[in-house]
Amino acid sequence: MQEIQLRLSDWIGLLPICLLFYITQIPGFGYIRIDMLALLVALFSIYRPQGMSLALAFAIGLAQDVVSLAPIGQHAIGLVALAYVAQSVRDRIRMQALPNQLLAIFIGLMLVKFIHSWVVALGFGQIPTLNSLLSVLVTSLFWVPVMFIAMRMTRKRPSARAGLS
Amino acid sequence: MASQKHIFRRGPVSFSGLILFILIGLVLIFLSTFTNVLQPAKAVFVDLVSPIYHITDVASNLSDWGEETLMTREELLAERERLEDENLILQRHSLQLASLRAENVRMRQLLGASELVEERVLIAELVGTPPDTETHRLIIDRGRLDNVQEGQPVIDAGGVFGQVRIVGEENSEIILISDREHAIPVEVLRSSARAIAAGTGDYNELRLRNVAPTMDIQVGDELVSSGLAEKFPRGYPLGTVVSVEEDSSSPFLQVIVEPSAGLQTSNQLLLVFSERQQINSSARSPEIASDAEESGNSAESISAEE
Repeated sequence: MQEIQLRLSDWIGLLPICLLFYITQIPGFGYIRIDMLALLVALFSIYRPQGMSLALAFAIGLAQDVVSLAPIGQHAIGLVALAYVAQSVRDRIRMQALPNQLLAIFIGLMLVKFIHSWVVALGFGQIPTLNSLLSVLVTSLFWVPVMFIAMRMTRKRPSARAGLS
Repeated sequence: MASQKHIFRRGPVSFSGLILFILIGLVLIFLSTFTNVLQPAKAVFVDLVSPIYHITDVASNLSDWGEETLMTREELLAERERLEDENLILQRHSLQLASLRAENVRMRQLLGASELVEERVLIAELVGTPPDTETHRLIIDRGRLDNVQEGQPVIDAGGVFGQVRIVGEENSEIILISDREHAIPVEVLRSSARAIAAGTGDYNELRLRNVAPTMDIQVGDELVSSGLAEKFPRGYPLGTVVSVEEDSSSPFLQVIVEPSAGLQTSNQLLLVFSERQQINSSARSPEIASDAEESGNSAESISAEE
């Protein structure tokens, strides 16, 4: 698998795009939301852990809470946990082929969803519906295009062209 | 000594950092959910995020625009014909309503129980839907500047839609009747039996809470707001009973109601201002009508009996 090089500044450009993607309603499928922010946190935690501190993951989660008008802290906790786990097992995930990575990402996103659902159940006594699991499944499938974009970005880097990666 | 394999390798982040951020997050969740400390901040957030929702609404707007633009002449003529027919039916209903209203006023006067409640409505446009699929919330383009208040009822052409939850300067967040946090006192139109209709998290389903088996309710019954909680005015249609079942594990009946409002389809909503709300904010009440008229939004008055 090709090594992916991400710059610290990459996430600054990707963050607003992911945020917009997250809140854009798919016509006819409003109940499915693609959590690109979680994918962004996972991507940087695995391939550029220095660029994704827990504080940054927490801040992104807070932004997600604000945008989705959810209780403040709900997504933040989930993303912090995702960043921690992804950084802890990053070497193992990096060595895997894309389908195996997909499975790992699905498990990671399920962790985020579990924390999210736990908070909602604790605060409001609500049990998540199957729609939320469908969102997790669809979101994890987006790992493939995310990796493709990350590889394309890497190829354009002078260091990658010079074979320094 | 054999080297131990660890599933979780120690990364560049510390475990204590994780615990710290989780604790901060839990404190924020507690403050956000169970107290009003973050309420002013949330009101600011509603205004902050509404422009983003305008941008992200482009996809569905394009889809609507495409559908409207690609309509054939025949389809447009059929649509016009349907609207003309609907208009005729509504005019007839309106005449009947005026007559019934006048009769009702006379009866009330005879009984000495006349209390006219003036209600104003203000048209609001849907701005966006927050991405959380577990909650049923919407953002509308009316806020404190339009005299919108927390708890204010929101209706659409079909009936009760929800109520205002957070009020920003120019935008507000509303909670739909189908949200699992929402409940509304209702009355069966046929038998005047009262109950509480609660959201289930399903846009097409509400449930009546604690309905005794002796209660006079059956499939097909129309439910209207009873006005008991003093938030929703009395008499607005809420939905139709679609199922009444006995549950062996519960002493109560399981009653399912289909909402009459277009919870997933309505883009234009009406904010209802009752006289009580206008008295509470008497300093601002004249602005309700004038603001709406200036901005070209029809604010009309409806007299209703309560």
